[in-house]
Amino acid sequence: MAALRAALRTCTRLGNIGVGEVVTRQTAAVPLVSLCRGLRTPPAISSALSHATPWTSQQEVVVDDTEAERNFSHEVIEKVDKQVREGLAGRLFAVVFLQGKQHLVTPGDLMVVQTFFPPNTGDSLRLEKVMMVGSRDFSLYGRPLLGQDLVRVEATVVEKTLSHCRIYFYNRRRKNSRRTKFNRETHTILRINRIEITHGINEVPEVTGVDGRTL
Amino acid sequence: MSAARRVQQWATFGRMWYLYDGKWQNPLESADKIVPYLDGSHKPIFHPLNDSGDHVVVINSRDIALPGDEWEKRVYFHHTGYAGGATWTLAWQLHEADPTMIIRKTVYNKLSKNLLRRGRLARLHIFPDDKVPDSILKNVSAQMRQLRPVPRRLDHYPQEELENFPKIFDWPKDHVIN
Amino acid sequence: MTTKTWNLFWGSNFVRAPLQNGVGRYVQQLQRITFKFCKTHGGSKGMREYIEKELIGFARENPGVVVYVKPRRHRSPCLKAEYLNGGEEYISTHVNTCEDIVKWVEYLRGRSGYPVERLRKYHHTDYPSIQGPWTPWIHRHPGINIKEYPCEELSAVQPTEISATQKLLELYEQQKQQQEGVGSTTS
Repeated sequence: MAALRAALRTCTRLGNIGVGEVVTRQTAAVPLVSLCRGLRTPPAISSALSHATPWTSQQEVVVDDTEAERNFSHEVIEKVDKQVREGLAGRLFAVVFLQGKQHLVTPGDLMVVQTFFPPNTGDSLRLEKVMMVGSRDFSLYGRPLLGQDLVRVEATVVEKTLSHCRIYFYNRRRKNSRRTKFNRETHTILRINRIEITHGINEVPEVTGVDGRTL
Repeated sequence: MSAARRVQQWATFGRMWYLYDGKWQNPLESADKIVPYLDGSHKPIFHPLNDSGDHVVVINSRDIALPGDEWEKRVYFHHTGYAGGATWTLAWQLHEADPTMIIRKTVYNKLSKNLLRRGRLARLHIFPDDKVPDSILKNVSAQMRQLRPVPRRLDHYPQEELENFPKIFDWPKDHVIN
Repeated sequence: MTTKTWNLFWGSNFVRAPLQNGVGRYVQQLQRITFKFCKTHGGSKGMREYIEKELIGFARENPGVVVYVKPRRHRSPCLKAEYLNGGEEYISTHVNTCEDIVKWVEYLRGRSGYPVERLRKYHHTDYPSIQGPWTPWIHRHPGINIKEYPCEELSAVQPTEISATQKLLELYEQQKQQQEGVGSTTS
């Protein structure tokens, strides 16, 4: 339990928020460090330290602490909610998924979208695919995306331009064959205006998915 | 730069010292594990232009374990540069001459081939046994996990444990061992 | 051409936007655009067509942009854009079609006025880290700071699966417990 608390202190993993269900990952019960490596989980240090001597029996009494776990996660969520409600969370950052790439952004940032991107200069956008949002004290991870109405990330298109001229020079040696190609890809520069958490992270809004839609 | 930022910089780029116990470990696999620590690619701040490699102290290099018949078959080639100056040394011979050499050569071969290779290798400290000078040991702040379990020999078990080990079957009366 | 040669002549820069553009609202950066063309030459055919068909619409849609039309005898057509930050851009539209010129005008309208350069990074932030930069001690159990090295506990491989010997010992324990249980019930 202590290990779980330690893990949650640094990283609050939240489940499917739309359903209002909170899933916590118990790091203490995971014996394999390598299994956890791909996940964004703090290493299961306590299990790494408690090296089982080869002669101890593998059987142990398992205490049913699901209730305690649930209470604990509710406690953590309440703390996060309180910070957000009272405006003590400070600067937020988010990982947004845009045109096949993940961008880590915070308000005031400039980011470049390097592919075809229809919005024009001066347009205000809302980036809907938010994979993660965090502040100094907490991080909320989506699986893979956070609830659509939970986080608002807004941006303005500041500039639409072309990149510098890229030169692709192909030469086949001793074959008397060479080609030069010039390419300027489209660049859209976005200014991130606002990142905000709109409601309590464990709350289920009455209607979801209609924010910003004309019905 | 403010004092706080300066300290932050020291913390981020602090050079760590790791200990690695080579006892019963395959040096070829161990090198794969050690190399990222030496060139710093195990860190999230890694960039080819920043110098973030760590020190690795390998102990018990005398007790490394090569797989299969590699002790007899693995050959280390050296050429003095003069005519007839080529020598071929078997792994067991090299290990007898210098028990740190096999692991050093393996790591050197697996480091990326650039001008930083020698500097990175200089951060690898190898000791044939577990006697490490205090000046080096006092820097060590973490230990890398071994790759395979160290086998226990029969004479390593306490007598009590041996006697209490369950007996599965009795040998037939006429069975001759050896 | 290598990157080094490129930088010798054209240079490189980071992403930037003039005067914190877009923080409060977006400010149109294009201030003036001049269409230069010849009334008779074939090279200006597309430009003349653009002026006939598209220019009024462009001027109506962009009231903040001053549009100049400048006929010049027997010279090739071009576009000249001037921006709020003093930047200028010139584009030759010799023998370009009307559709090409629509695209070039759209390109000039969206630009910020900074010269086109290679971008070193595609992201700019004033707050590189919010939860604090990484250090080697982050997420490390403080317990390992007080260990004596070499430390057998931190070095040994963690058993991932139960070994045959261990399994045997467990079976033995089970058997012993069963026997004890049987013994206690009979007695």
